[in-house]
Amino acid sequence: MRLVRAEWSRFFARRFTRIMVVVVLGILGLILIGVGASSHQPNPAVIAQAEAQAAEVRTQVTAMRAQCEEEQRNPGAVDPNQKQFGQLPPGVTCAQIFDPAQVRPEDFMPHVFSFADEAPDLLKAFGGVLTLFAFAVGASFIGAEWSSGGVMNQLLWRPRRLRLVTGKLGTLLVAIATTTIALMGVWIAALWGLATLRGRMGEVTSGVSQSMGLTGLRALALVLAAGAIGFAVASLGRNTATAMGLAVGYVIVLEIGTRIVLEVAEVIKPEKWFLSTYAMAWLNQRVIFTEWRHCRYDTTGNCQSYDWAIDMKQASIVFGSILLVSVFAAFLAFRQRDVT
Amino acid sequence: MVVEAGQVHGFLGPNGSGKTTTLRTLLGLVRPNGGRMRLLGYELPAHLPEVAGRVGAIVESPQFFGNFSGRRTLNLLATAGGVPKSRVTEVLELVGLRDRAGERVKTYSLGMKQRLAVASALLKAPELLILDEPANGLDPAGIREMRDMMRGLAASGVTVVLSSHILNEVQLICDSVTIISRGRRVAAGPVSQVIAAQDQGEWRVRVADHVKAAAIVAESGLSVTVNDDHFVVRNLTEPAQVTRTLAAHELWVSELTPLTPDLESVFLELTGTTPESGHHRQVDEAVQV
Repeated sequence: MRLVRAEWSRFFARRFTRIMVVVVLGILGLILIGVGASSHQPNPAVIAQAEAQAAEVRTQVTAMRAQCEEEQRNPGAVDPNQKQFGQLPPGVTCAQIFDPAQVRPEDFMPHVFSFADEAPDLLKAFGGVLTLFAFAVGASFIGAEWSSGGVMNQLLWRPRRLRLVTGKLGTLLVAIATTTIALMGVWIAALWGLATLRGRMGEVTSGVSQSMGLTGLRALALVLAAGAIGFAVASLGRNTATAMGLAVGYVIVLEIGTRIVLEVAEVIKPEKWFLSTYAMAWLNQRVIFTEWRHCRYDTTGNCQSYDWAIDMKQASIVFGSILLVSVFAAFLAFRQRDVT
Repeated sequence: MVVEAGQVHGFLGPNGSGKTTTLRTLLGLVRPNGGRMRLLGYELPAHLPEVAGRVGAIVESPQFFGNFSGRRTLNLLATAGGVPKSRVTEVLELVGLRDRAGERVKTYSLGMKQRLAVASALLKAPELLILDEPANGLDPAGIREMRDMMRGLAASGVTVVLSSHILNEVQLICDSVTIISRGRRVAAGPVSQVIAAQDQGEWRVRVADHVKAAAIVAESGLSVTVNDDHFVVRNLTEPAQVTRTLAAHELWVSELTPLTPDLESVFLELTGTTPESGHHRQVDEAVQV
């Protein structure tokens, strides 16, 4: 517990942590300013006009739905020259295609920030920013200790190496979680404030709240994983630069370089080779891609593109594996390697 | 290597002889591949966790996180080690950093970092203090303060193991020494005994015609080395033998001085590292036993 207290104090006393918090706040602030600048608070006249347009389109959609349903019910009764829809694919209904409830006045107004519609996506963006923050802070937390001799000093006090590294990692994760939750609260409050001042709340149903809560938890899990991986890689290299270099190298070589090569070579489903895909899949629960390079032939012999997806289960396997391997290797090295 | 409780023990050896590696192994930083070690009665490394709280150490050059102040650095160690904060103030006072404790470590000179390292080693009020080159970077006053502090600690019952290349300091401070060369012990024991063991009974003799006088003394059966303005007689048990012999040839001695070796000359002799004019000695050129 004494070690945890000391590490907790060290985490928040470090200048790097403070600078990174300021940088994160700056990035979030810029996003907020951008969203706020693009949001136009509608006046009553604009709202009235949009509602009128929406009502008109709803009427059209309702009529089209009725005609669609009539064509499906009595395909022979409709004059072939008047037919608009033909036979729908199996499992698809007219009600799904023509749903007047989906026509909303907002669709006919200049962009208005809607908390209910946009906050979930902005929460995912928050998760992405905090993931980078956690990786850097986690790497620096142990990397700076190694390069400044702090680990050696502590080992002279506490020769039980596994306990020491476990205490450090545990405290780091609790500190990152605390910081993330606090910043997440600030972020949601800022979005709330933006909606109040320059947008609208929209329909914040219990479903929206629950969805945001789950997104927040997934973001927190990703942030903690990034912090632990940063810690592990920096501990293996015994300095912060190892982890930061690996991260920058990964982005340049794989996320940019390899992506270009795979696309030029027209490799099938290239997105599955990049961590950013799995991060998106984790935050969104699922990401869908359309494969158009290698089409599938349908029964009529036409070449059709097809969709494929990566879901959060696959993402959890990828990140879980990286997390386990890196942390295990770091602990093993911390326990076995000489401190010189 | 045996260090008696309450003593100040010097641990000496040329560069690369294995002093720091030995200390690191003792402190659990380097894994031993053989041999036995005991510290305060505990077998190491198996029982190091039980004994670590009673051992303060600095190993090689002091390293600290540069952006923290000296006080914060010690506070963090104290918190992790369960040492009261009042002890931090005590050790800062003891090493002379009281007034600079609030400044960032990266602004400290090497000597100040060294003082901070000593303070961190003293923080847990150790029974055994292991200091690797503690005088490194200290100014002359700091070296004397360090010496006085070690004497004071030893007087209060703390055992001190001191690794240093400042041999005149070691000779002044230490009760006993261990000298190693290329990883092996070449001498050990009380400082006076180690020095006495290398005493060859040498005397410096000055006389008007020292070349002629040296030849006369050599004829009497003594071993003689002639230098520029004097000669040295070796294995001399009775100094009067020289004056008597020379007086018989009407040569009058103006100086007859015993050449008692100091720790430095003993060290150089035992480790085979005495500088030779025109020869650039390499690091591993030392005695191997």
